[in-house]
Amino acid sequence: MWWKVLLLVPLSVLVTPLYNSDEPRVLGFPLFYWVQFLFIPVGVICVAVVYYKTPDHKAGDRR
Amino acid sequence: MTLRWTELVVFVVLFLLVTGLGFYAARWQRGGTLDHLDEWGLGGRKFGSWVTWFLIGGDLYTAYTFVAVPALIFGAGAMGFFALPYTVIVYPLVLLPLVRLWSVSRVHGYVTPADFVQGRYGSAPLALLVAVTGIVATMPYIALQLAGLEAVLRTMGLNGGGLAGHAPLFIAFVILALYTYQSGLRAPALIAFVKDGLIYLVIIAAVIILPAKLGGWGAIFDAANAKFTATKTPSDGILLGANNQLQYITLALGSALALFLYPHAITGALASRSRGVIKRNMVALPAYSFVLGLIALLGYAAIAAHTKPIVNAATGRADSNTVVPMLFEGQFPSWFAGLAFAAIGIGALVPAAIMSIAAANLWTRNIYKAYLHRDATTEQECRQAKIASLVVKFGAVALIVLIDPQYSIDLQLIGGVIILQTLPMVAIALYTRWFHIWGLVAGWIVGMGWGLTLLYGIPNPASGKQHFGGSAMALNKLSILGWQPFAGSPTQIYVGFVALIGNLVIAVLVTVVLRRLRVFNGTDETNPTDYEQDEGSPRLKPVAGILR
Repeated sequence: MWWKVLLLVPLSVLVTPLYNSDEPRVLGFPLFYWVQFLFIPVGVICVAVVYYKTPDHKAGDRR
Repeated sequence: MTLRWTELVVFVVLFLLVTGLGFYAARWQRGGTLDHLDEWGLGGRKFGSWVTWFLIGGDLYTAYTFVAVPALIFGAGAMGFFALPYTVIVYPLVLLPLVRLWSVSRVHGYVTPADFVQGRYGSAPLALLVAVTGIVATMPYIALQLAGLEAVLRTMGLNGGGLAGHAPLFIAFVILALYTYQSGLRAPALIAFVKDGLIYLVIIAAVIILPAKLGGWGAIFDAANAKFTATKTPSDGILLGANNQLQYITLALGSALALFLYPHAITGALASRSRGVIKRNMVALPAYSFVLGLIALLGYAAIAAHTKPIVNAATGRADSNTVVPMLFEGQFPSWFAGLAFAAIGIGALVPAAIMSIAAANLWTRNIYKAYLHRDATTEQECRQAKIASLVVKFGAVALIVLIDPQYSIDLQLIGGVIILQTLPMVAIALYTRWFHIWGLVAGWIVGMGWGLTLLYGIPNPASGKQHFGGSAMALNKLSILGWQPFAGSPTQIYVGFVALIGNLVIAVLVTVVLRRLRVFNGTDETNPTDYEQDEGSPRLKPVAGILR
């Protein structure tokens, strides 16, 4: 059950003041951009964990 | 007007290829009959993970992504990048509600979100409200696809003035309309494979070659920064300013909440075979988000490459939607630019087809069958939906002819404000029936009225428009019956978010009063376990027997 809390983690991408800055750059990308790109795998991992931890039972026997 | 022949030939060849696929799709994986809304409108409800990935990907990452978002970044900078966090948060947000909607829809045979609301509340007016809102919000979204397609056509030299200037768009759309009529949801599902293949090819090549030609990403960002610093507008720049952070946040969140309320997104999800298919897709769909982010940044590459948008001969103004097509035109050989144009053009056709099917399903199920022809047979329903899909498409064409496509993203944002108002009726109703029917209706009226009033009052200095010039408003303009809680604040916020809060507050207040008065709140035909049934459950309605 508590695994579902993980779904809230990607929402932290909305706290823009944390990364609204040019430096440090990575591969020429300002911080503002590469941090948000980094959040894509963060979101994927959170959703994937919830997917694997909440297996879908066969019809009828779900709680 | 000079035609770019090489590009045009590549474009036409690929367009004809997908046209062939579109007509062939009628026979692909077909069930017993196409004269059934389950078949025509939901592709037989049996798409697996791969098909669903392409279908929903083709559905969500549209011409808006390829054309309007980079155009916004080209014009305003960091603000336009909201599309990336939007697609980061959408999948975690909708994962659980979407599988609940899938289950309850399979148990009861719902085809549209309004079907679900009808079943959940037993209230025809409420379902009608959801259906009408869905159709109205989808129209500008289809029009946005058209704007993308037209940007490509005009870049290739088909840039005529007046009504005749829209002729190439009409032709492309008549062809799309015909094969959608014929094949239903299977057509965009099959074409989506070609679309995504082309998009990935073009984008991977572009993000490798463009930075190399323009001195690297660092130089591209520096060029953009120099351009924005030179302008007088304080709100642009490669970083967010003091006044638009809240706008960025609320726009990303509001867009994410709105996405799966759109009928076409729900159609894509309901066409899948099982809950597992949806869940796997929520994990895999963000692969598109990488591409989305990179495409968005092409707006900066266009600045670095000194790309100039072409002047739309129909409106006489520069059309910022042509920025990305012109970037490809200027930086790549003609044949490759042709591929890119085809990718964008086909990328507009796929979602336009799905959207028109979703709107047609709403019309047929929740207006035609509910009010006009209660004892329609399944064949009559299906024929009605096919005709409705044509009407919706030509409505969108009319919309694009009447308005300036310059800021076509505004169209989509206005649609977003509208569709967000169904959140309490559809998304919250998946979890609780606490809200009262008339509370939801009152909330909708207030949210819609307020949202549209606020949108009406937003001017756009850049295009000289007095009204409907964007979707962001300053907090100091916010007035609740004369009370201005944030007077003097220049901070910008997304109108849809404000309207949704108004909607929810009214819905709660009216619900509390009506529950206290014990006013009848409709009957619920669903029961709690309906929301958890999966593929193979004996309680799922057989796909063919769905329409009674």
